[in-house]
Amino acid sequence: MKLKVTDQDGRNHEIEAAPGACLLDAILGSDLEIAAQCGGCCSCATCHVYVAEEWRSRLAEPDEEEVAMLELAMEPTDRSRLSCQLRLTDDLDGLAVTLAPGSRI
Amino acid sequence: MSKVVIVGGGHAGFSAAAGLRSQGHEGEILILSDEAHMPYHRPPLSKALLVGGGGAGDIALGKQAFYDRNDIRVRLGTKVTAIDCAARVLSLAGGGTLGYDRLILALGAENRCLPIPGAGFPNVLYLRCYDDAVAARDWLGRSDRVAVIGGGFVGLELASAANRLGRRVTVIEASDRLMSRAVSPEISAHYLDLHRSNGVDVRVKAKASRIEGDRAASAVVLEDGTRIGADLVFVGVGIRPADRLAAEAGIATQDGILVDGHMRTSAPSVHAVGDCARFPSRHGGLIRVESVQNAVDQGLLAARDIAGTAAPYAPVHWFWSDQFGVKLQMATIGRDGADRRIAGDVAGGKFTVYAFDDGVLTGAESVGRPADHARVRKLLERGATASDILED
Repeated sequence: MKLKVTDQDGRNHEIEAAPGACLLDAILGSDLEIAAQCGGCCSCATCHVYVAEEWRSRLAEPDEEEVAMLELAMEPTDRSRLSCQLRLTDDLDGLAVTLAPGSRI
Repeated sequence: MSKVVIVGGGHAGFSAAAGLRSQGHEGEILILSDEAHMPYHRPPLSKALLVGGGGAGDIALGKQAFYDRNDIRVRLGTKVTAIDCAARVLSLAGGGTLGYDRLILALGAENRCLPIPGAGFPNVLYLRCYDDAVAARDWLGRSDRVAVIGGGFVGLELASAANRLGRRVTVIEASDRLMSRAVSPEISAHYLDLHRSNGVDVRVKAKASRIEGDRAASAVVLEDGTRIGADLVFVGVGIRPADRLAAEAGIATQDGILVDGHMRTSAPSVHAVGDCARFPSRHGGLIRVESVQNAVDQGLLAARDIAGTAAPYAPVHWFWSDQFGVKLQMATIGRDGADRRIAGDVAGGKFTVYAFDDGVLTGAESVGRPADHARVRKLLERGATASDILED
């Protein structure tokens, strides 16, 4: 599957991802940079992304832990998600996200 | 433009390098690491890496493209043996020397050794770096009975991983409760139950007096004579800051390299950050904090000082541990709080232990209550009292 990712400088990328992986792993497997300070265990909010409006309703709701950690994210919006908690399924082929400012290394 | 040399490729050293560039430093940046791997995440070493596998590249802190784009050079397998602070020259193992304009010591910590007979057997392992984790994974694959000496975070995460791999595990803890140095008795009790209910044999108030074996360890013998059979022994009895290199160079140390609020050591143009640094707490006294958060923040702090964008360090320290999939989330301002209040359902495994000192919130530990943890981290940033927390 393919994902559309806008990096922290506003550049657009198309990256490959494997269904079943989490979004963070897909980003880490590409040339994009993302801090993910805690290594992807929902402890730091530095793998923060904004999900494109048209995709928001198609994602599973964030769980309690993700909601809590998003409280600590820099510049959160109602499109905020933590990429380490976003599981990629086949129906998310083409998902578009933007890496949030606080995700810079 | 000055040349910054960073000694140590852990979280703190990596953060310093990345921070220098993000703060506008234009000179050379060189990381010297005595390891064979590019900087990587350490927390997975005692968790996912043992159970799920993967290589050093899977837990890398930055990809090659990051180093290239930011012109950060990393020299692996490079050990610094001496610092000449007056001449600003490092001596390297093997005979070379290397000059610097600014030096950042991100030396990390060393495992405390277990001073008992038999601790030198090949199947008595410590865990600190990636190579240790690979060795641990190898040994776990061909062992049956695992003894873990030390019931701290690393020991308990190892015990959890070994149990999940189907090994019979015994944890031997000298004090009267688990993680006693770091968490409240309520959290200790919860994780004691968790380990026992998963089949880990946990012995508290138990001191290992020797390790028996022929050519390899076959049992750990306790002071009371109890013999615990084991074909693999892990030792996790704490760390000591790697401050020897600094001390030998005449830099002030005191169980850690002494630094000021900007991570400056007593030597000109030398900073120290992370596990190896002892710094002034804003609540008085000198403290050392062993965590990813502290390593990352202090790396950035030193970078800012060098780049001329210095900021004060007023951290909320946060930590986490994962044992049997039960996450422990901790936050503290680095000040003890003897007055503890518990909220939530202890028996149900969803509770938070708040700590106060003189009515001031100093920290909290949460299990199954992520919203409490997030709220505490915010409250600690601005300062909070008991009434902010416990209105209900």
